[in-house]
Amino acid sequence: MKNYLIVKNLYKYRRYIFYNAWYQLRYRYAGTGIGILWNIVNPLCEILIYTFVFSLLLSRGARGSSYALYLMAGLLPWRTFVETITQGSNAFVQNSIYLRRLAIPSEVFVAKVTLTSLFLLFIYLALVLPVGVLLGENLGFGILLLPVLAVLLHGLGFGMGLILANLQTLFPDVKQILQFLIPLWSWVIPIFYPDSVIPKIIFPWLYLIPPYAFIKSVRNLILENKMPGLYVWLIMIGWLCLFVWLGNAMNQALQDEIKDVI
Amino acid sequence: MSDDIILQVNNLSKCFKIYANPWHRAREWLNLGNSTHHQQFWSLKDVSFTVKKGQFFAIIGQNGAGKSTLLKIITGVLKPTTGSYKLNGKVLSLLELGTDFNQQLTGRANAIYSAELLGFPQGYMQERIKEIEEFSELGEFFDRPMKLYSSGMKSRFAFSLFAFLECDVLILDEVLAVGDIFFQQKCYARLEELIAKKITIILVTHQLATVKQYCDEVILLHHGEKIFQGEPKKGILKYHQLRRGLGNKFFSEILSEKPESSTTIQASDNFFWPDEDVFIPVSFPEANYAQLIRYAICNAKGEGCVNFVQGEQAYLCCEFQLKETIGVPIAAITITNRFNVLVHSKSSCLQKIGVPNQVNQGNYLRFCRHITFSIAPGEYVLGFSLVTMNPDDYACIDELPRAEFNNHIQICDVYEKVGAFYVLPHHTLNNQSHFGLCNLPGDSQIQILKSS
Repeated sequence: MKNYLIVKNLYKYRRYIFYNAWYQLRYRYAGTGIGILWNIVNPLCEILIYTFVFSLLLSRGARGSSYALYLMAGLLPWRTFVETITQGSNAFVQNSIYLRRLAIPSEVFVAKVTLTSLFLLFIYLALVLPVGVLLGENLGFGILLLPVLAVLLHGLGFGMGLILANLQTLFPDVKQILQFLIPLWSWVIPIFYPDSVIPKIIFPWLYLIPPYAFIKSVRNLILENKMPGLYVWLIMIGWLCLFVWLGNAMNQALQDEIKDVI
Repeated sequence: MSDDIILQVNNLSKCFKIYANPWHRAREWLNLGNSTHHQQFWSLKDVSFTVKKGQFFAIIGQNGAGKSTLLKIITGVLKPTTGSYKLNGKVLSLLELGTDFNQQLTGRANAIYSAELLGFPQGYMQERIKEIEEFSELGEFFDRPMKLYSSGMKSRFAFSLFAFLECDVLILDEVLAVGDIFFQQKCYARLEELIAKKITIILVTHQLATVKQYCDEVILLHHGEKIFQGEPKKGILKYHQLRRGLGNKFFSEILSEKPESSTTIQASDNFFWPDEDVFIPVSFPEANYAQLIRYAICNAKGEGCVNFVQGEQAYLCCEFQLKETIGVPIAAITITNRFNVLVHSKSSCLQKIGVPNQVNQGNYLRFCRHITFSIAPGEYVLGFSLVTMNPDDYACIDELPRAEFNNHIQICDVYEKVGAFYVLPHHTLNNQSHFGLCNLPGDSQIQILKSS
């Protein structure tokens, strides 16, 4: 019954969520000269920097020129995933005007930021594929699975964001903790650096760190046209269900307290 | 619950937990509720009332009395700690309007957007947008981004929007002060239309004149408790008593020990003194010589009243109890407007009245001032003061130079901000009407000379 409620709420406010997410994406850089293009320029610069550092200076990236593509395939989903989490954890505080006055289910606001970054990831993926072709990768039909993986990844982000949004409202310190936790998180799984630097024995353990399975799958699809195996699917769906369930349970339990505090 | 009742509130209480440190909440969780690390704050205590269909209902009270909490519970934003409420329809609330619009979007887009946020079906707004556009009088601004709106425009837009959305209960929180007088009239006209359609309106405001004029019923909240429900007129009077810092408890205490009206100093035959129940008891613990114990503001008929029409006559009365023996008593009133500008002050010695040479300790002094409110419409604050003079000086008061006057009086006690009253404009212009701060006595003539 309670799990069903979140679906019902999100469905009821679907137009609001959709419209707002799109709006947020378009106007995030409102007032700047190139506006919406910053969404693309920002990660592009980041990719250039890392490519420079890893493939030219450190030269441990065995893949050479295709390091750029390797990086893109990992960094872009990671970026939007992190965005879902950080923006999601801020969602209640930022929308306190609405939460204080309207009887609107609070998960709607987390869903809104999740959808914004999902849109962004779609755009990124649509841009990465032509780049891949240019760099000489052979793309197969596997890429049709990319949107599915993107949705699953952001579903996970939604669950985590919902948990963090509740926690951050009650404990403002969470925001500060996240600020150092996220960089740490991004370096314990191979996103920036080539996975060849990691000892083979550690690989299976990486699946215990949530978004690794997702990012690994996206990467495999783009770079090697390799579908995720059954176990990887199970791991991904397992993580997704766990966090969405946890987030929903927490949101239900704390909702009244959140409204008192906010 | 009968069909006639739209909202029924039963023993509603709301308690907020206050944590000195947010992590104390986590400690409570870890102890599974076996220990408490918070303080309780009861914002609402056992409030019950019912609202009927088509009623214009008002909730008044000082800041922090629990009005907003009550509204938030009714609109479903907050959950009550104990008690329950039943709502027979859809409620819309215009809380602190104008702040929750998207600044980048146009008025039109915001209208559509808000309707969706409030859970109206798609396309609902399209049917009504024309009416809203017309009502708001925003013209071409309706299609401009909200960030270009003035604050008045924003509130006009918000009111227009909410007045045209379908609901059974409309909650208005301090919104009727929007726009110019013409727009306000339009708002009231629209509200009357809604009332005629059997829509219930719950108004929360500090504009008591509005409450008195439009509302059928009022509840007064004080420190989270409902201390009055009934006629607006009585509720407003009660509210004014509260403004003097009298809690409910104190109020009854003072009433029970009515001062025995023994020695009336002013023994003039036609001394005007209103009925006992018109008086509002007050308490000022820091009095020196003369303790102000009660006051009354009443109209020419002697009825307690706080709303006057411009040019209406009134009696302002008060009673002091002397703590010390003083010389010739001189009482004065002061009237200040909302900007704390002194509008009028006149003491009894300027009005040639009979006074004794001495008032003894423990006696009661009654002072009554007959006055014509020839002042601009608005809210005014009333103060009383008592000074004394020795009899020899008083005898030659007419010869006393103005500059010397202050050296010959002794101030007993000054009570500022004792009560408040309102002066309302006439619906039509008459000889009592004027513009500006006050009416100056006089007459005028017009003569026309033909050009040759």
